[in-house]
Amino acid sequence: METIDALLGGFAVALTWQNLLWALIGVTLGTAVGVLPGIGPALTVALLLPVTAKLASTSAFIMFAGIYYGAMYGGSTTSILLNTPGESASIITAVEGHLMARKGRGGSALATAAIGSFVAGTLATIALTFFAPLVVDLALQFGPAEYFALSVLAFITVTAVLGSSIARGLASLFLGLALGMVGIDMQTGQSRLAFGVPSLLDGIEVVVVAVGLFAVGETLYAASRYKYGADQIIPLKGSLWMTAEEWARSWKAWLRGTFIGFPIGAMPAGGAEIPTFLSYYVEKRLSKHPEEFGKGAIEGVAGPEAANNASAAGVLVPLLSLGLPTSATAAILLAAFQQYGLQPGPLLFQNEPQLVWGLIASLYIGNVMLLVLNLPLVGVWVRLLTIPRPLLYAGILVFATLGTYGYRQSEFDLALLIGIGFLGFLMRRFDFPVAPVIIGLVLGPLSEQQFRRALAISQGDMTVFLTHPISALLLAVSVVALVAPAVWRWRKRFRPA
Amino acid sequence: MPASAQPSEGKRSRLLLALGIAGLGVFVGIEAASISVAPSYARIGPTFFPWIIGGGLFVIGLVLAWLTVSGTWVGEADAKAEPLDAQALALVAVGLALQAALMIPAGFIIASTVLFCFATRAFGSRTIVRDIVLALVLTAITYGVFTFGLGLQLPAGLLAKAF
Repeated sequence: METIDALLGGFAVALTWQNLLWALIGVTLGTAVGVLPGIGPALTVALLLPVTAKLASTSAFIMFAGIYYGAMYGGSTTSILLNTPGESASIITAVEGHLMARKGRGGSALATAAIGSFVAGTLATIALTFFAPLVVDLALQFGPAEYFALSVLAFITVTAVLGSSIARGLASLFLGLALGMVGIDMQTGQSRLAFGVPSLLDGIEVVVVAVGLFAVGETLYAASRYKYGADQIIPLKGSLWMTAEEWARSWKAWLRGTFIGFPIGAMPAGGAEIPTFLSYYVEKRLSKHPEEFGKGAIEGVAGPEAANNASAAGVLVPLLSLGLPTSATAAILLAAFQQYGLQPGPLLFQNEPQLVWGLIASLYIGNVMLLVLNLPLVGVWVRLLTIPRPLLYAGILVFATLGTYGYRQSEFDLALLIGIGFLGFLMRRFDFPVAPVIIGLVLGPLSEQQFRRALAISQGDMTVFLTHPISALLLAVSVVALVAPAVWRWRKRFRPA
Repeated sequence: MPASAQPSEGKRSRLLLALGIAGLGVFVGIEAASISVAPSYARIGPTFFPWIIGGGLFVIGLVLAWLTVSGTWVGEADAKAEPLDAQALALVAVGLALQAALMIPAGFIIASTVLFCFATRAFGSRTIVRDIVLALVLTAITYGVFTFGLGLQLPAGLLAKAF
């Protein structure tokens, strides 16, 4: 059992007191920042990147793992009590959980979300442990053509399947790709799209784009609409101890959510939105109390919340074993790896087993810490929700600029942050999805590198992507993913009523 | 709401945005054309992806413009028809710009306090003294944690002698 040995080795790394401390700091920071309204896991990780700048890589990633899971837990608290999901994957939790909170059952909603997150997170981490090495074995067979095709599939599914509009999703993706081209071309040393600005030669940092789009853009949007009224916080009511009936109604939903969330998250297409919606739909169909759905049904919180956390673990499979980010958060984590000169992928498991398995082991530990942090101590986090809005957004801006400046100590980045913030504001106002920008920015240059490598090997023969069977298959799936939703809508529109 | 009911402001700004995206595509294309390429890379060199991206943005921009004109793209921004609070937006923008300009000469603490107060004002705060005090405490603690705890040097600026 190679995997078990590797995992035990990982626990040996993660259980040293320093790394336990970093994990605890990570989950605490992750929960605290994740609870703040409007801040999702992606922004949480981006904001906290400079904090780890001086850490050794293993400790840094153990902390990131904690931040990642912590932000997921924290986000559900906000969704339930405030109805402002920090990311699209908590929309369902926000709907059903908020209705429960309004009926005075906020305690039960928080409990089923936290315990469900723990159950799903732990089961999905086990699945990650055993599944990732299998993907690594497969990935070792991949050449540049396959990697390029895989990145195309990720681009397409992230933009076409998840968003409400393919055109707007593609616009976001191409914007991200264009931003990713800025700087010096790695293979030829040519500067591209840098306009002779020295600061642009090093490229545009993911942190600047993520913080600009999510934090500054969101704050500008909130400021532009603030006088039209703010959200209402529902005070925490109801016991955190679930009744026997609530347990009975929750546990199956947790398990089903896990089984929906992990596989979908682990696919190179990924994302957490689809599994949460799917889980909600499944629970509604299977429930003995379908009439409660839309009025605060506990299964409608338990299932999607489990699916959300399971897919968060699932997303780590393509990220760690293929180097393929399929969510905005994963793209920022990938950038964090690059900051340490590490490239996630099959070779990472061979070259840095301590880091990879230490990270995976700390996910188990972090989950236990988070259950403790989020159930008995939930009252502490709820307090964060009562921060007055002017102070909250002013604080977000200060930390957004700090995160940007702290990363490279560059005033140019601060100016860039303002520009990207306004871009984020426009995207928010006109309903452009933000995640494809981040994924295009991070994955674009990697994709281009594989593309050119494949053509260098084939001596410029473009058919290489179609003659390699795996690559051809992946590209075919991409085309279907791009075209199918459009055809579907077309048929619906022209079907006689 | 039928899109044809009124050629609303939302429609015009969406069209502008769509054409802006197409324009960006042209711009990326022009930049791609200006990259000089060694002959050995001529086939698939550093210009290939920029060309594709520029072309893609151009086409997507035109598609979005067409969707706007034909009324297929009806933004949710139309549903929430309230006009933007331009004053609040401007306050946040000015605060950010001032902070960027003051960061080195005045230092992190002062620059960020300025940003903080502009932002609270944008969100309707009238308690300027309380905001300044809060901002100074928050930024001073942050400065301390980053400089002494994490070894990340932030600009001290005017307050350099205090530390």
